[in-house]
Amino acid sequence: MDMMEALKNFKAAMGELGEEDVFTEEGWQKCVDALQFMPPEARAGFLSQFVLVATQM
Amino acid sequence: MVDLTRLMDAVGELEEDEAREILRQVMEEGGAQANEAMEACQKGMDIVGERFESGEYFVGDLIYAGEIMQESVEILKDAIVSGEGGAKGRVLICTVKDDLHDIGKNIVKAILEASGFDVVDLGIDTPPEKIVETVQKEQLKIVLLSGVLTLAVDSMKAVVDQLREAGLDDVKVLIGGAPVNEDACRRTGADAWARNPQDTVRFCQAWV
Amino acid sequence: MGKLYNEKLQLFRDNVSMKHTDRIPYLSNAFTWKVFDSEFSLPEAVRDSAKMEKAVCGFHERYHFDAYMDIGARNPVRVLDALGSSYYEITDAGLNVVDHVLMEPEEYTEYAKNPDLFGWTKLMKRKFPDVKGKHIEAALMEFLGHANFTGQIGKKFVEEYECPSVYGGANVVIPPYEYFFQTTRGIRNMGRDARKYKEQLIEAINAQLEKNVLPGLKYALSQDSSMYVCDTYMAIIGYGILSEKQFGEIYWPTVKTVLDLLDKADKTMYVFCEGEMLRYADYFQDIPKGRVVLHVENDDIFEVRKRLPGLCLAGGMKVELLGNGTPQECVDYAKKLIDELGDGYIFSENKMLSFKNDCKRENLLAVREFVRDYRR
Repeated sequence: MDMMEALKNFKAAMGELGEEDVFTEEGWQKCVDALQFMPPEARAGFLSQFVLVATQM
Repeated sequence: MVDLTRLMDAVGELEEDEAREILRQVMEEGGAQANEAMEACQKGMDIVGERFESGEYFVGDLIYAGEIMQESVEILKDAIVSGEGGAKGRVLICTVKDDLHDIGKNIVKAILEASGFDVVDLGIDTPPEKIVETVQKEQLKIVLLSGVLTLAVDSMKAVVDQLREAGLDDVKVLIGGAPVNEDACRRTGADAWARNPQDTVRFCQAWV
Repeated sequence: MGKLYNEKLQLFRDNVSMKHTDRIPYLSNAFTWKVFDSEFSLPEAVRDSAKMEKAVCGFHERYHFDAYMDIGARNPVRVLDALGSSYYEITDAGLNVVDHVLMEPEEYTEYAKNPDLFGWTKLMKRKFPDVKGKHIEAALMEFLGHANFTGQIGKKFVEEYECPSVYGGANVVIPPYEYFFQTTRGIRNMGRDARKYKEQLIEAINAQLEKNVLPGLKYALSQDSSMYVCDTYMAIIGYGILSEKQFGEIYWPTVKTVLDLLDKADKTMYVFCEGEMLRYADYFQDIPKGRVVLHVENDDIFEVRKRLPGLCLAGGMKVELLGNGTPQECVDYAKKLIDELGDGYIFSENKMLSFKNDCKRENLLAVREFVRDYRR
């Protein structure tokens, strides 16, 4: 999958969450799964890093 | 009637819950012991100060002690009666302009209040104009400036300059915080600098 | 990588290994001051990667340091803009962080059970109560954009300017205590937590180490980091409020675990010690030579050298001199540092250059020229 397609898939998946409160266990998994531009084994780590930055800054 | 020695020890040992329980009991009993309880807390802070000087306690413990002291004042304040002795002296304290750090300032404030001073706290990010205005209005003679960032030293100099421009040459200025040292004191024109809260108290006691 | 790049890398590496070098490398510790030294304001540069790139590149083209702690990628401000809330106050005076609390001490045990889910369902929810999926989408795009910018500017510095980075962005180790100090409990509460909730804090620290820090570190150590000055990086910041006893019980054990892993993998670490580390110097005595660089901030670096003669030190150049002294005073002090600190020294500003008056351009130019040309 190239980056353009991965980003398209990411936006489509996140689009479904548009007005949802995503800060649930289910929401975490949906966001991890949406990170199509990362290798599967790195997605949870990427989201974890995002949380670190978002909560620290 | 509460056990005031137990209260003093609780504050000195940083036993927050025990101190709170005793103070609430003072108020539940009508507050007759409020002044003595405040004095017991102040003696507890003396214990904290001694342990800090001996190295047993460090900065984190001073922060904690400051929080306990603030809460103690909050619980007792409605029942405390100002006696004839009154405060030892009145001082102004603040964190200088463009600096938002206030923990050091709050520790010093707690220890000063525990030592019997009346502290006028202007908070954080305080412009020099506000300090000068307050000094003039309240006729204060001691100004304590705190800061953590490197830019705080420039802000401290601005305060000293404006105080002198306003003719307030008899107002003593003491500076403290991470970027403060002998060189910073000289550059700002402050009267003194302090490395720890105990030094600040000693200067204030000498100046009143 | 080109010849100049490899020469600079070797110069740094030789000092990390405590070897004698005739020239001392200069590692720039300038952060937001780079923007103050440019045509842009800080609020605009942190939000515009093209402007930040101009500021950072202009800085290098003016001073030509051997390496940089920061190349403009430190603060992904636009991520927080997309989420609508930040603890950072960025003005024309500088960048300030508001101390904040996101969790209660009674929650340490819950945190320890699942740090990732706790962070997502509790901390994010508390900080961003009104944020929905669409905001997270926008923020994640900004986060990705920032990672791309970091990669792009890193590539420019390597290929065009032949400057090594001190460490790779993925190789940063955050000591677990720092996570609670900087992110969830704040300075104000850590003094209390270290006394009143010590066991729960240690439990949460160990969980953070096992579940987040060590997996990331092990992955980083398995990757090729030969293009960097050091294989990993760590900043120790909040340790300074702890007594020596508390440091030994609460802070050091996880740092020791990290350093032991590093030693086993035969890798190096750049450790930035904010504040004063000298009172805890004994803990650093046993670190093998060549394993760690200690960048000291407020300590008298000459005293640190006496206490830790076997470790590469960095820092030393006083920001108060750069901001308030004359060029000659700055150069004289730079010479003293190089002459007296001996082998195993990386020249750098002691503190991060962050605010406008932290430094005068004429002083930095004078010191940079001196350090570049001076031979021991």
